[in-house]
Amino acid sequence: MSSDTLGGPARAFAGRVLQFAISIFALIAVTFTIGRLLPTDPVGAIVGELASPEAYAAMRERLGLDQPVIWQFVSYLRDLVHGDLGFAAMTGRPVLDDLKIAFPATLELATLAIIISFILGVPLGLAAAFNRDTWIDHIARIISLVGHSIPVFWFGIVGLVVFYAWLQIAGGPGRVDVFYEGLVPPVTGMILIDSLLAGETAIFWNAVSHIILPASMLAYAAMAYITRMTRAFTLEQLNQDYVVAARAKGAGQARILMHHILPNITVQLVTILAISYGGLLEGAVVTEIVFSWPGLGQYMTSALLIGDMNAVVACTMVIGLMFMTLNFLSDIAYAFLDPRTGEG
Amino acid sequence: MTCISVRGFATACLLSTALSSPLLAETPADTLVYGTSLAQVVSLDPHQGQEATSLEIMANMYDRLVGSEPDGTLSPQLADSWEVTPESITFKLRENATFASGRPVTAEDVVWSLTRLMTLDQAPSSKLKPAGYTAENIASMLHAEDAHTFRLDLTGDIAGDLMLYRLSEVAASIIDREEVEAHDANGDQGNEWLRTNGAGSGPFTLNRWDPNNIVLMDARDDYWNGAPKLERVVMRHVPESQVERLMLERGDIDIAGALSAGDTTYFKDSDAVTVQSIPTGGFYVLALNQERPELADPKVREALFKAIDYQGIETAILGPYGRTRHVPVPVDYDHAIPDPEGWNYDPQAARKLLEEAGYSDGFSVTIKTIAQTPRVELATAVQAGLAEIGVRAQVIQGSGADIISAHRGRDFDILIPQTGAYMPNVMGAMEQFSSNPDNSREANNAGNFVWRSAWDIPELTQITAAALKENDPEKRGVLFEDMQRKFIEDVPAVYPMFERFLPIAISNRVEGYKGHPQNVVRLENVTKTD
Amino acid sequence: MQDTFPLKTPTQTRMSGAGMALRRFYSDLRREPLGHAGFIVIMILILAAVFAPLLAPYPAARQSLGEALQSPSAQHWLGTDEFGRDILSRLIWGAQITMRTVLSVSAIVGPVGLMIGITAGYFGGRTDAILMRFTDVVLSFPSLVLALAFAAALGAGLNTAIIAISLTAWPPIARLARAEALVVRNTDYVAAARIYGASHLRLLLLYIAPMCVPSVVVRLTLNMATITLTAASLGFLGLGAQPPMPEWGAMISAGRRFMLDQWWVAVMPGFAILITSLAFNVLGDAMRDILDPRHTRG
Repeated sequence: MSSDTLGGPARAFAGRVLQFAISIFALIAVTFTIGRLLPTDPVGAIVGELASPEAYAAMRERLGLDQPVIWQFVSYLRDLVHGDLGFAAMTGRPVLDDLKIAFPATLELATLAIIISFILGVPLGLAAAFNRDTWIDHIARIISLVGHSIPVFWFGIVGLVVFYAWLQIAGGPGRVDVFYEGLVPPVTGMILIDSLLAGETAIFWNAVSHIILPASMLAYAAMAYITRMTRAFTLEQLNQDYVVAARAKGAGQARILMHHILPNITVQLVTILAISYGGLLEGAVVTEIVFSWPGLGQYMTSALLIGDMNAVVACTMVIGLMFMTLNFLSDIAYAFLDPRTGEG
Repeated sequence: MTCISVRGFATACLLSTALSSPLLAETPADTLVYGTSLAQVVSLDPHQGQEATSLEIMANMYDRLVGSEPDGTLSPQLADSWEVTPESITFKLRENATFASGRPVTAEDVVWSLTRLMTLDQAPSSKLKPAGYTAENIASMLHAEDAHTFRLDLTGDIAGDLMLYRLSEVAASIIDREEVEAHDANGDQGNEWLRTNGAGSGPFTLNRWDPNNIVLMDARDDYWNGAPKLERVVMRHVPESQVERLMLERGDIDIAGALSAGDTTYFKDSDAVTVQSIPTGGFYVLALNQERPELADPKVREALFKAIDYQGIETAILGPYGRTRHVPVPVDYDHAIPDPEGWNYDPQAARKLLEEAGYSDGFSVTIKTIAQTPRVELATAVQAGLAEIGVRAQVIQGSGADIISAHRGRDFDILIPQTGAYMPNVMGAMEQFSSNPDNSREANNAGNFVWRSAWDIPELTQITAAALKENDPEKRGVLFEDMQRKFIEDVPAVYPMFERFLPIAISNRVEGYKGHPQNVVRLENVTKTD
Repeated sequence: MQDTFPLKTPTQTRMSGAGMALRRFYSDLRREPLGHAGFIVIMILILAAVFAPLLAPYPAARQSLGEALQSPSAQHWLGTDEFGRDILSRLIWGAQITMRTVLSVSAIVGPVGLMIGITAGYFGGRTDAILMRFTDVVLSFPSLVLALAFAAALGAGLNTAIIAISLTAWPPIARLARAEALVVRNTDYVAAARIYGASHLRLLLLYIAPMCVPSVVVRLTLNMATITLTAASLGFLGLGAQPPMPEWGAMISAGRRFMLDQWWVAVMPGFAILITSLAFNVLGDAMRDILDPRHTRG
């Protein structure tokens, strides 16, 4: 990042990779600290209210909590390398197995949300920029400001009441009606894809009716950001000499948009795609609770409430990894794809 | 869970629903859909899991020797008949009962299962401990006299008829020995495997369990008492009460458990839904740690009792969940005594008592509670009541793990636990309130409800022990009443505030579902209309 | 990331006296209707927080179980919650908690970020590389999720929430301060002080830090919106202020159980959060526009 350590692109790339590696190691250290050095009593959570002291001690030993901290960290690292995220007291299963179910659900929700936010956000940002300081721009600005300021969980609740309870035009919480639960063999774990693979169009549409509301609610915050950034990027381009020149030659708005603006802002949009996507994964944590969405967020918060730190730590890790990877990709894209910024 | 079983289910379900329009939200007539919170379901091993929803699931995957009806009567289940003597109980097992694996249920399985309950030494083993059984002595008390005759020796600590209730609980489920032993891992008696799988002789088998999402159970056509009327049971995790209410209203689910007080009341006048209020025989309790000098003063305790607005809490917060009661025995049980006079909301008298005790400026305490409705609300209401009489309380809510370990370690001032009765009589409801054999810290009897509050009650403990082993029902009745009077006289440090009920809302399409205080509702005779 | 801007007029105005600068700033702000509105809302919130005992019609924790869940009326303008507590009063008292959280986090994050940033920018070289690498690592953490995990680990409570939020909120400030310091350290004014033998510490604290403060304050103001939202999320999940404290997020969480019949219990605190966060956002935007005229409103 620093402008005083100039080097070739290769060196800069190596620097970013190193940064990424350090970040991941830091994430592991932080999650370990969170998971192990706390007042919560994971043993009590498992053996329950009435177990004898012997049963308690046996479970403590089984969880490896009687070992010194350093040794616990080493075995934590070793387990991680083997893909072993520990045992979730909450579900009585390996955390990894739980995540295999929860992660696709979150991914599906966040992916649809990012699609929605781009479909709505980019045109809105363009419209605002092309009509700077008109009412269109003001409306776009207000929409975007509110999106930045709204508590996403509250927005979800209001949306659920309005669209599901009152207007009855959206499917309720969960991924499909209970009726369809378990009908589709899980291939990808994403019900929209799985139902199509199985040729179950009825289930597909049912799933669409369920996902559309949480995805839209979640998309709003990302859309606010995308609108804002698209507008800024576009304004920057509109002030460039070549656009001014094209205008002087009599090029229409559409031509300017298609030939001059879009090609130039695409790279920038790709970079903010990565950042927004990371943000959506975080937003999904609270949105999922409101919509009983069986993803990482609901899994993590259920774990939080019963103090199942293995599960909490694993979720933090997975979301953290996704988030960092996306940031990393965004950085790379920004630095190496965009011809105009040599150094960020 | 394997893909194959899901496909199998998918096909079955598609065939069964192909005739009806798939876009209808209504649940199919051969499937019971039960919405509730599955958040606490962590183990489906009957010798380990003990949370209410887990119990309901396991009650249908497994059989016990003796079944119990919601009204408290006992009925034959795996045992055809039994004979009780002061020394032992002899059970005749029915010969046509088989496990889901196809193996017949034998007396050997019974001996093995009850031994496993004690030697696995998880929370459910506490169901037999007060009766004098331990991991060490259990093997010598159980006898397989022949393939279908089983004898249980009594320890002398408990009367035979009371012991039968213990055997009707999920903890005493009979498990397929061969199946579980085949899955033994490092001598865990198959616990790791059985947590998430089934090996029972009950009317349903576990098809699938996605934690915090869904539990599917399939009917067994070869069940000894005939195939259940339902084809399958779906338990769906619906953590939000309001959502659950909408789902029930729309026919997405047939039964709604864990509804909030307000949402239960909403169905009071509904034509399509009936509300059942299941008495648990248990209580919402105010546990006062006697290691805190202020709380050890009976005057202070009584002052606290008088600071709580029971009526207000009952109407505004608990609704169908609770009924004011200060003796740890439901008022409709035999030998129950009436509430003591004067333990009602009277802030003025409370302030006076505090003054007499020398705390006219009040004092500071913490109230710990599990972050669960309605206990958080209860804590908040108690906190506001205490504030009125000058006792400054801070509410600390935490996860089950945090709060339970604080309770076990006597690390609290005031805590709000809840109890349940294991049989519908004074002993079943009250034993946990009136027995504390050794109050010393060294005893570390963390499993004992009274010990956790450091409440030393030698006399009451003695009366309780005497009542437990008394075989003569009449003498026992007298002792039952003595227990309650002594409890009041000692000004309890484990103070029942409200009797606990579990309301469930049931669609009128469902017939034959009757909630059970010990969560052993059986679903084999439940039917649904179209 | 492109917050680097060269020497600018506000830094000079600052020299002529803080009072003058503030007056100038306020007259600039008045020309930004949205920003001005945001400023007024924040002032109202601060006043509400300070004078809550006088303004709130009822004590925050006063229960009146007989009046539970009443709809908005002349007696209870915003209705009552499940304990019969007055929602308006709780929102007013809750402003104390929100303001305390926001200001505490800013008070931790501002100086920490500033010091790390200017130290890196002033010394450059290895110090800069190490500090900024560390900053980038923290910046790449998912802040809400990490705050959740920390709050769960440290035990729920308002102070925990403040710490948990602070832990991941300082890096943007540090980045910004560093960029500013890189510019400031080469100015004549700093060079002059250096010639007169000022120590590193003196230069950092008395010459460079003050020059970076305005843009840090702008950034902090924008951050306050995020802090408000994160704090509310923690409260919503039961990891923030504990009952009976009238924390807005926790109020939504409790009110959610009555959403279908008594919508006001959850909706009112949601509006409070929305308005507060919106106000910080527009005020921050306006401040940036004023303090940095070059910056296109983006």
